[in-house]
Amino acid sequence: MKTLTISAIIALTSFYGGFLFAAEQANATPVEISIIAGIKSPLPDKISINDIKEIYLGNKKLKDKVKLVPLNHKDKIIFDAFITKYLSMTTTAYKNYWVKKVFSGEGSAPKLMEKTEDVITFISQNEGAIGYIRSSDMKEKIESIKTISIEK
Amino acid sequence: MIKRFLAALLALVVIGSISIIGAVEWRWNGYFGVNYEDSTKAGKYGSYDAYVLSLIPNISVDDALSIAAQIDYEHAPFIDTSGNDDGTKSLDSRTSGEISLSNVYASYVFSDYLKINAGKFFAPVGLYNQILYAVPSYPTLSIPRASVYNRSDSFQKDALFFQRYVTGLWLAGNASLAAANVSYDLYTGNGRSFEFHVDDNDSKLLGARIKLEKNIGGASIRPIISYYNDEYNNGTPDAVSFKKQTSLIPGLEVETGDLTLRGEYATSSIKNDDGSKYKDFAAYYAGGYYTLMDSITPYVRYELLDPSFDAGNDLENETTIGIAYHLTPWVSLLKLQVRLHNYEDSSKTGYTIFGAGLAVGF
Repeated sequence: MKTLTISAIIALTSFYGGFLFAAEQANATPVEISIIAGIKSPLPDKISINDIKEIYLGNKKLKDKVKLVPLNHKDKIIFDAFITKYLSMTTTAYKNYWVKKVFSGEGSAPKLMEKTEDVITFISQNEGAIGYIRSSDMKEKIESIKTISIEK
Repeated sequence: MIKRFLAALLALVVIGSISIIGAVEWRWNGYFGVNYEDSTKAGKYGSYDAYVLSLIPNISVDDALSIAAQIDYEHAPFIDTSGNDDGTKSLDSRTSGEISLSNVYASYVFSDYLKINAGKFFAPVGLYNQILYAVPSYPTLSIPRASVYNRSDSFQKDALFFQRYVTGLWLAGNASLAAANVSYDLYTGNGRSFEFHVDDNDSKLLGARIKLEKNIGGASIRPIISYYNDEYNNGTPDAVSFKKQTSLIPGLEVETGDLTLRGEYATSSIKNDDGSKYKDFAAYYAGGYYTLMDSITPYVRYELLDPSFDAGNDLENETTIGIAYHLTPWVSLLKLQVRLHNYEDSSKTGYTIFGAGLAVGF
């Protein structure tokens, strides 16, 4: 009886969650993202999408002996758009990946920046930093920042 | 003149020391888990368990050198001493729980291809050994302990297929190749012994693990294989009986969208000192986990253990069905699950364990 009751709770909760999920997907809107680094960054102006993924998964830590510092954006829409497009992961999968990595003592998750201005300021001041912002926020050219494009 | 020179020298040493101390970056992470389990086993009753509190300091001395540690407090340890009639002290009978320094090692990063660690660490085996107690990192109450990560019939009370902790040297690295992303671990250390930090035989343990990652059609395909070789004394410190154990643990993880499929198969061969067979055994598990709305993860997992190929009628299996609710914005899970454990031997009675738990990461 206990087994049936608990199994029923699990099944009903899953069904309800699936219904809410479908509703959220219907309302999702795409966001254009620009990847940015400092003008003195050791990263080239064009890198592969795999390199972006390896940097944000903590597997690629160094470039020309400079420690790379990936930044995540606290804005959920920008964060979700970046993770989905460039890492080909869901945000849950990305979060679980870093939870496992941090709790196995193998690293620290990328720094989380509150706002786009914080991302730009940090990148301007840190040679190894790399981050992303909404493309529409790059209204004017910033001397200390460069945009990194993806190799096809 | 000499006084001024010595003063300047002293100032340099102090400033240098402050610089060294100032450059060190401390970072603390950790997690906590509390469970309630009730079993249909005869004589077992429902009980709460302050399962684990783990504190994980990571000290970055500079960009290349760091110290990693993990202190685990399992089942809310209580340690006290009591006085004996003869004036000596001994461990109080109320003493319970465990405190262990599971990880403590220095790590030096030469490049992405090579990092050298030295100290004590969770053996880099399979998908789960390094996150043994990291309850916020999986939706189940525990890792697959009925099969590949089994402890029940073990030597020196360690894991069945390998040694959970290693004191020794560990090389690790990763590379992006055209075919796939590759990461490797290669380690050596003390074999299993009656004392943890002392090796009681000439052989050391040797282990390796290779993980690949390849994106195919939007799915991340991650095959993994672990190798473990160890020699240990299966007798007593006074009556030695050396055994050689070799284990191979291939596995696969497939992630597509919010669906994760994961499984591992462990096979092990234990030989006597003269090379003759002592025991061969195997186990496997397979599980599926699907996250809905970033907040609910229902799952199912099946495990099987064959404790000895030569013995018949000794298979055990366990099916776990459960659900985890992600408490955002925290790294936290509420878990509910049912475990059904069965025996091939009809003289043994299977049992069911109902469990609920809270896991909080910080």
